[in-house]
Amino acid sequence: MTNADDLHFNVPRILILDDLFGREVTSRKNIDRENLCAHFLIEDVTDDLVRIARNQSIINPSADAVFFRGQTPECAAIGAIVENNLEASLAKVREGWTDAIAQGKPPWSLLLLDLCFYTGRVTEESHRRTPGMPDGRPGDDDPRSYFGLTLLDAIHREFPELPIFILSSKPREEVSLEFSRRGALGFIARDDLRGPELLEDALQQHGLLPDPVGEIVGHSLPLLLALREARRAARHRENLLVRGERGTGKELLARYIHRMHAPVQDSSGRPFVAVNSAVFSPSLFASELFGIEPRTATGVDGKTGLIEAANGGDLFLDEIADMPPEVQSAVLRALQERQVTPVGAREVRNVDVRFLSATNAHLEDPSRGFRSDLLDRLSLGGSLWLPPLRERRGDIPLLAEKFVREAEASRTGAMRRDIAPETLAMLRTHDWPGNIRELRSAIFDAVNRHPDMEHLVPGHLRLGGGMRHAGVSPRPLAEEATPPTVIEETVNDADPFREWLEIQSRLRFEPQQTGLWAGRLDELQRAHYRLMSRYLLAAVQATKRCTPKCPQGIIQIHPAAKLATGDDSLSASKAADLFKRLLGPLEDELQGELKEAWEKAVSLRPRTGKAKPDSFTDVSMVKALPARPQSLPLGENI
Amino acid sequence: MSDWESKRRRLNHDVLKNQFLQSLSRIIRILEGRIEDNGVPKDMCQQLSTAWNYLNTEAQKLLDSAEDEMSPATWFLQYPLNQLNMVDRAWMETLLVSEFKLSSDLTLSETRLALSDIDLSYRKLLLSLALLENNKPKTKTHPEVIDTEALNYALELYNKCQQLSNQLSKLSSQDVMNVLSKIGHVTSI
Repeated sequence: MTNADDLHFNVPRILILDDLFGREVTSRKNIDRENLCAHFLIEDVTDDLVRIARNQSIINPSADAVFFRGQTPECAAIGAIVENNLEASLAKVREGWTDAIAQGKPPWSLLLLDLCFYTGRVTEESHRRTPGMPDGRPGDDDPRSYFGLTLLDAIHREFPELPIFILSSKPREEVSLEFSRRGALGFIARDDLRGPELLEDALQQHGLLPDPVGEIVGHSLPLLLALREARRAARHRENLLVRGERGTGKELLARYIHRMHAPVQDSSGRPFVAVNSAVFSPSLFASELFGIEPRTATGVDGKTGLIEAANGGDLFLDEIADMPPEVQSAVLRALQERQVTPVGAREVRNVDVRFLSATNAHLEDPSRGFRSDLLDRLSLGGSLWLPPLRERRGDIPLLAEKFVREAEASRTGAMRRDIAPETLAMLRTHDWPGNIRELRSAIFDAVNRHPDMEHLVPGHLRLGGGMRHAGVSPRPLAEEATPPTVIEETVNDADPFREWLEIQSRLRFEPQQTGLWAGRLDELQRAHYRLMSRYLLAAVQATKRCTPKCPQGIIQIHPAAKLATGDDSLSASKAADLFKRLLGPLEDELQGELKEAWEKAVSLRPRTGKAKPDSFTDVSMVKALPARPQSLPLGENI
Repeated sequence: MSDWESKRRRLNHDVLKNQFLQSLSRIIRILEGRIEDNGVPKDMCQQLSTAWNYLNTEAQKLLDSAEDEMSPATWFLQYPLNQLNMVDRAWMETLLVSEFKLSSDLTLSETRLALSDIDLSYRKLLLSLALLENNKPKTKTHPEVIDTEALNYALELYNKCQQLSNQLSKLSSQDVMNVLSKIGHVTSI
């Protein structure tokens, strides 16, 4: 079972390898360690302190610290011989790195490593000076032979991704070349009164830190490395391009970048505006992007454009691969000039906007028709890569737990349940081509279909293609199922219908087969509409409402469309439009329940009331709409 | 590395930087209000006193023996300079020691001054902390009101300790070739 207490490890955990602060002191607390924690404002969470009451409370500690001496014995009395212990030190690092990762726990965020480790006998004099510390041997205090440098070599060799800083009161210049050569990222002087700020800076720049507010769930190494890159990139105002497979949470990463910019510049009042690039139509993009100047004489209402709305903050452009060529040119111009001219305005307006863009496409491919000069501008500050879920399987238990709780909360009367270990094992072995969004859909689906269970077991899950199995059991439902609620903060970088279409596109033809089908694309298109109509039929059957008067069930196109798309926010009119768009090309051959569904859709949205192209450019509806409302992208894919 | 040199490094590294300054830093964090505490506890003042008494005593001892220990005269007791004939050794030793004393006298007096400066700041801080202790509220409260005077004394003491640390770093035996090269430079003019 997943332990709810283990869900959030959002406080950085650092390891401090140091003979002075890592040592245990017979029957006493290690005062030097307590002082060091106060100096850096860190919380001591070392196991050896459990028996000693702590008497200081750090306000807003920047990290939890585990101390280790790197020597044996850890607790030395007068007469004891203290020796350096490389193997024990490596084992300690491994415990919080390799072992932690294997157990789905966060790895060390940072390692602080001392240089000089004193060895030899603990004498009365040395004990009086510092309890438990030996007198030292020749060479211990020699910069050419510091044990800390030996440790640095060994640790960096075995754990190359672990960020290491030197923490020492020795002169930095004695060793700066050596520690840099051996892989340490920096040096923190122990006696520098700016200790908390120096440590915080080291953590932010180089540490492996989970999202402090938990919006991005997980602490697997690939995710932590991606977050670190994002934090580094967030420190400047250059445009950034977020790349990653669909469903990996690219918009969440963009929001993270927006939040992480706060330490450099006050984030209060800095806007974050998100928009799906696919909604820009060639005729209306200008008013959406640049706004409309109000005209009293003509009665034209003014409208703030997206770029101006993001002034001083960030504009997130999702799915930029779908941006029409006209829009690409306009965006490029705005990027170059840092100015916008609202429609109908005579004067330009200066804007300070950072563009954060996202794509899952290979935009460098000339056949995609994406302007290379625009791509260069959009990725001026760099490209960030979000790992797919299959490369961060360690995060699956945390994500699953979160989604189960969300699903329970959205489903009235759903019981709180545990996730059975075999379910977690199953979730961890699945490849998740749809990434986090697919995981979320699978769990919401399971909770919705089994609201009264205390355990989520493998049998509750339908993996491998979302709605592909929806028609397997077209049993009438006692009551209308509540489709999952789409929570924007979870994964919302594309709409579910688009996701569904993409899944379908993967079922089709390999590029090398297109030669055989040359000249028959129209037939293929129609065949594909038929294929998709089968899915709609499955959704229609699964959501029929049975009543005593109508035991065979009443067709409900709104719940069916919501189930098919996984989008609970879909309005009734949009649901009707969806049916019309998908079934329209097959109108002449529809029969039975599909025909009935088609007729209901038409009655709800008569031909004169077809979805207006204008409405699709409404920014507030961006997330709920398909990429190309008037023409499905199937022909291209075929 | 001689015993004296080793003691000097440990006094600077272990006692001054790792113990005394860290104790002082903790007091500063409390006075800054970054650690929840009802004033600076007595045991911390006691801890600081113990650390200071030890540091002061050991530093005085170190400085008292510094001239002898750092002097180039010690090199003539060791190989290879102990192989010199007595005539050469006599004039060379005199010359080197004189040259050494030109700079070491100044360094040593600056270090002694830094030490006495610390003693003065330390006493001011203790007095200020004692006043703070006497005036603190009976109930435990969040340290919203920071005692600026005590904090300033603590910061002043911290800076002076860092200056002492820099001075102590300068107190190392000078390389014989270094001193000789200075002499060579002088004679060539």
